[in-house]
Amino acid sequence: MVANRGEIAVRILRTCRELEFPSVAVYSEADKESLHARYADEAVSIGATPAAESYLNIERVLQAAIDSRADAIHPGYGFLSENTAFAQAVEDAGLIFIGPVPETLALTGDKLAARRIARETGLPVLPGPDEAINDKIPASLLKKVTFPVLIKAVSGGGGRGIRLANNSAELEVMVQAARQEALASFGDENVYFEPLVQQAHHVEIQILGDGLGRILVLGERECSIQRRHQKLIEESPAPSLSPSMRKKLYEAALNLGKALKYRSLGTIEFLLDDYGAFYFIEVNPRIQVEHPVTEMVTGVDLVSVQLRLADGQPFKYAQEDIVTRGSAIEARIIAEDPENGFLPVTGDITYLKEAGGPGVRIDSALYTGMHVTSDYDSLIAKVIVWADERQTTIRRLRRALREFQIGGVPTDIDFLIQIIDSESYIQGGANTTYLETFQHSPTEGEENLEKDMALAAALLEHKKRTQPQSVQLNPGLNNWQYQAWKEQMH
Amino acid sequence: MTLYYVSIGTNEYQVEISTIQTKINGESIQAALVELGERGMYVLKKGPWKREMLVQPQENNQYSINANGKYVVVKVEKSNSKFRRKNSNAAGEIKAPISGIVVRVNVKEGDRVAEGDVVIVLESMKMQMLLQSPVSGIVKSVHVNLGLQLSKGDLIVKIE
Repeated sequence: MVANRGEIAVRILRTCRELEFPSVAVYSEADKESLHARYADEAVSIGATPAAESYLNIERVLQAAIDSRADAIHPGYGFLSENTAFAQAVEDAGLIFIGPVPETLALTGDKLAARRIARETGLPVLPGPDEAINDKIPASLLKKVTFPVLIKAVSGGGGRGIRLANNSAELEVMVQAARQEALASFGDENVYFEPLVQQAHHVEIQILGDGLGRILVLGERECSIQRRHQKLIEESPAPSLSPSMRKKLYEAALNLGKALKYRSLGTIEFLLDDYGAFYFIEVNPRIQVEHPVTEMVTGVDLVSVQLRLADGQPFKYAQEDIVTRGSAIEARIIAEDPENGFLPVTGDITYLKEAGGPGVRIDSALYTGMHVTSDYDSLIAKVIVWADERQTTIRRLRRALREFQIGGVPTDIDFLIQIIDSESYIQGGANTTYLETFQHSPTEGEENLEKDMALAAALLEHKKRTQPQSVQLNPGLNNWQYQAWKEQMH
Repeated sequence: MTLYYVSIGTNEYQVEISTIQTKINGESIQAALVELGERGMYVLKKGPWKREMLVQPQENNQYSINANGKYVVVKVEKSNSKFRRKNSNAAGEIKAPISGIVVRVNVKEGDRVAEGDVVIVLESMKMQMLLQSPVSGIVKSVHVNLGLQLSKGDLIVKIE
């Protein structure tokens, strides 16, 4: 059973079909006609539209699994995927949780505990207190702080609720705000802080463990193109990584995976600074949004290895079998309005033509007539491309994004094209602050396109006004023509 | 010849269309828009060159257009933005052009109307007159009802 929705649910269900594992989907009221519910062999209603009453409701999700006699649950990403109580409840019910053991989730879910384990395993972590901080920060601690710092929730993750403080006055205010937000978002008000790594690159390592201490490293992903701490474009291999640094990161991830006796898929996230140092940030104990780039360069179906492992089958691969080839990039298509501060939008999909062709993979749950709601994530599709080397991949991604046509809701497609067209991105040097100052000036090609759009709209309006319409009150007729028409009707 | 003022964001284009030619910002071009069988899909042809676009009508003479990864909302009007600004104060009022009886009321308070929509029908001297909205907007107030006798200059509808 897949305890998720949207593109990731469809993606997992596709592998279920390939393996000929019977599948069950769960759906909320809003999702009863959604693609994931339609794709599965069975679909079980789990409640009302708000996630808290459906996809986040442990009892209902578990009951759906029991009722449908599922033997394993794949939680996808988000929702209950990192929830220790859920994983525990699944195992207590005698089902298999496709992911790490609950003890691992408890540890990775506590960012300070994860930091401690990482340091004990020999991984470099950012300097900072190992305890959660309160509204009153001791003066002795304040003296040692190097600003700016980022304040993060102990139970947070995924880039949510992060706040920046440039000095001690800001720190007090931001800690208070962050504590309130952490309590509301994660049910835990504990926060901590770490120095901000300026000009950083975000590089993460994909690992796979059998739960007995055997760990495979499946390459890295660079996710430096972020907006408001949310990833937009991810790729593998990381363009900013030297071979020696790559080796160090793989070793660090391997050691941490072994120390945790990690089971299933996990991602170890690192920040790299300009001076050749790297720091552990957190472990993501689940499949990631950006996992397809790893699948493209390694040729390994990550969901398939998860499912086989849960099914009790031994690893099909040894570390030597994992060879990366070429370059892959993922771009996230989000329903949002670039004209209105990139705020998420809702609406109906009135037209859809997804991209295709050589080296292009689309992971989406879109269909014509679908309603994009504000109840869930605004990520609606992912475009993943592969080619033998990075510059070809970038050209291919541009081509695919231009092909992708979605009518009814505005998206970030144009913004994504602007980013991959920019010099810094093409050179591979863009860091995590790149989008904060990103400026795009329209090219001649874009100006011509806009002119063509103006022309098309005028031609269509002209056609509408000059073509005779059905016989009814017609504002196209003047008053006396209308009168003549009316007399004819008598 | 018909002149259209087309705005995309802050940019405005003037498009002249007649049976013999099309001009954009004064520049003469050979252009045609061909509708494809697929709903909303059009091909803009300029001589031998062509470009495919998804064009979907929205309310208030607006169209959303997708092409080549770009998504824009385009507004097409028969008067330019300077003219519209100048007339915006008085433009939202419809007054009786002649005295007559109200034989039809097409709107009520809060309705959305587009420029050119028929708002009221007046009957005068056995003739009917259609009063159209001069602007697009929301009906703020309706000052008449069916059968009412109006004098020239009486306020009928306010639109914002």
